Amino acid sequence: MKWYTAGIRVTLLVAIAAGVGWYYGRPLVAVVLALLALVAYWLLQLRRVQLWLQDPLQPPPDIHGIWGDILSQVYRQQKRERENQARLQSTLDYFRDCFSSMREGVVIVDARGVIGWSNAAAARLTGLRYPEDAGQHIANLVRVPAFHSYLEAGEYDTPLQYAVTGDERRYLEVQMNRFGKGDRLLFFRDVSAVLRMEQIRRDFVANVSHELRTPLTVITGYLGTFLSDTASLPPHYVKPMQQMTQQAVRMENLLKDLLWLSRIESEERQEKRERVDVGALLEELQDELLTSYPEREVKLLLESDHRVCGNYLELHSAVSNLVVNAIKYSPDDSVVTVSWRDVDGEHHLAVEDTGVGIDPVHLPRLTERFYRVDDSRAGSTGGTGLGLAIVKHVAASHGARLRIDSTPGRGSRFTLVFPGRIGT
Amino acid sequence: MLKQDDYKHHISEKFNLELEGLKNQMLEMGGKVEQQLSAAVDALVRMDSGAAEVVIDSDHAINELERRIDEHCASILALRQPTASDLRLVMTAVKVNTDLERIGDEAAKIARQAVRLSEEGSSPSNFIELRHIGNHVALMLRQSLDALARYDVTTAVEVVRDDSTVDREYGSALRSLMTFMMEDPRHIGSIINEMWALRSLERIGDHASNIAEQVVYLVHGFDVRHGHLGDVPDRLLQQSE
Repeated sequence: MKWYTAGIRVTLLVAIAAGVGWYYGRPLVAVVLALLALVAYWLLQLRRVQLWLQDPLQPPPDIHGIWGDILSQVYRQQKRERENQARLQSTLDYFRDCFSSMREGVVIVDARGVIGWSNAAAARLTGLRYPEDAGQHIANLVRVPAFHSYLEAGEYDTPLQYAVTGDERRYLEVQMNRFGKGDRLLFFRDVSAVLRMEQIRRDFVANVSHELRTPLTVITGYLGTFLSDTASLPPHYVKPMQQMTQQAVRMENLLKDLLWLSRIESEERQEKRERVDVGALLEELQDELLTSYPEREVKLLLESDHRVCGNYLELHSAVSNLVVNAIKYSPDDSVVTVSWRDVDGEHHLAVEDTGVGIDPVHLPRLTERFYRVDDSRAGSTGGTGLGLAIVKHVAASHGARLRIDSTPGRGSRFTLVFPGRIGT
Repeated sequence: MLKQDDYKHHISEKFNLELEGLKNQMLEMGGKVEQQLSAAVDALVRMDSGAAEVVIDSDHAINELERRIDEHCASILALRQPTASDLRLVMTAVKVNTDLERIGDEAAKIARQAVRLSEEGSSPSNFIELRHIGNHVALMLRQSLDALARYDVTTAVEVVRDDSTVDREYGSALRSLMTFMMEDPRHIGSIINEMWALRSLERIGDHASNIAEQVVYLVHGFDVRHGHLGDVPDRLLQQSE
């Protein structure tokens, strides 16, 4: 019903009342009476509207005229909104269920770090309760200092692993993701088992390498004794025995590298540091290489006098691995260049050769233990396959990263990039 | 009674942030202290003097935090003249701050005993009591800080009541160490060191219970120190949520 229909009806009512009143000679009184009746009628209807509004879930009362129309429109709109709301709520519930069922602890915090929501797994892993702890700063309840600084630092590229305070055997990993206006989504995961396995593996490698050394020393010892007196040996034994010695020495080198690697790995967290003069280290290395590779030229370019905070022995072994690799994988008459320079506030230690280069497909796996670009070369170069793994670990424990640039056929450059520090 | 997000009621947004920041700082310090304690006990049980040195060296960071929190409290008192629950929060911060710093000191003391023990060789007790009391005290500290974070009076009261258990455990641990000393006088040196560490743990338990008492004061305004826990009406202790 349109509003003017109601208007026409009111006009008609007034006109009829005026007509009847005029007939009786009192038109004004009749009009006033008619309007009063109309107001009374409308008030009655308003009362019904008001009654209905107290419980709007009921269908609206059956009212004729414009009030009935308005009521049914309001009712329809409300119903639509209720349905929308229910649909939204069920979607929301669905997502919450989804997060709740996750094995990982999920916590949503806002830009200041205040908890908005967390799931049951988070309660199990970190002791956060929901909904009691909503509105609380997360670092007030997860009070591990490492977590606090991770939260504050805002660098969430790599997940953080931390020991649960009071229970040193439990390790959690937390991964943070930003979304919305500075909100953050946190995933907690129990990584104790993974770390324990890793530890067992390290211990195993270290123990096995250590235990294998003694028998190997005995073998090389006897072989050396036999070979020192080749005249008394049957001639057809000499060659095999020499090869046995060679292989035994290779095995010894392998064990030495394995032990060294496991030592570096286990010392990663320790802080035995000194200021290492890289220039002096490189010069010493150059002298050493003169004795083992007298025919090769190693050129030094020392353009920085920055001292690296770290462990001299580790750095030495890393650089020496890089240089020896460069020597092995380049032609005998080429030059290996070692440079130490400051680039854009960082410090680069680069080892460059003009050798065979490395196909890019190998680069991602190059620093894995025992990874070989070309298996057939394994014997001829006499390497152990652990060199770059050692380099990578040394780099990591010194806060540096290893960058490899290489063009097949033109040569490679291995760069240790040390971050620049303010004030040094 | 004080509620979780009570610090949003001030007209001055900055005052809200200051009070919230004070609480966050307190708990940050709490986290550091917790870690110091567990690292110290761990270093002692494993007789790892390297780990113990780290604990001793990190103590100054806690002292630094104590100074910062005190400064923060003083500036709030001077600039804002807080009243009622705000005042109680600042008072609590001042006191909890001292207790936490003392716990840090005791943790460093335990670490020093760890260094000494690692030099003298192992103790015949295998640190069974020490481990046990160490875990218990660490739990008390964690609960008292959780209670502080959540304004959870129920947990706080549990911690206060728990302190007497620690005292009992401490007594029986001393007796058992005494028998070890009587059995073999050669161990007296190492056992005395262990006793010092136990003593520190017992003190830490007292400090943790002080913090829990401050939580009751903070939330309800009742001073329950020195055995006045009974003065608080039961109904207040029940409804903490």
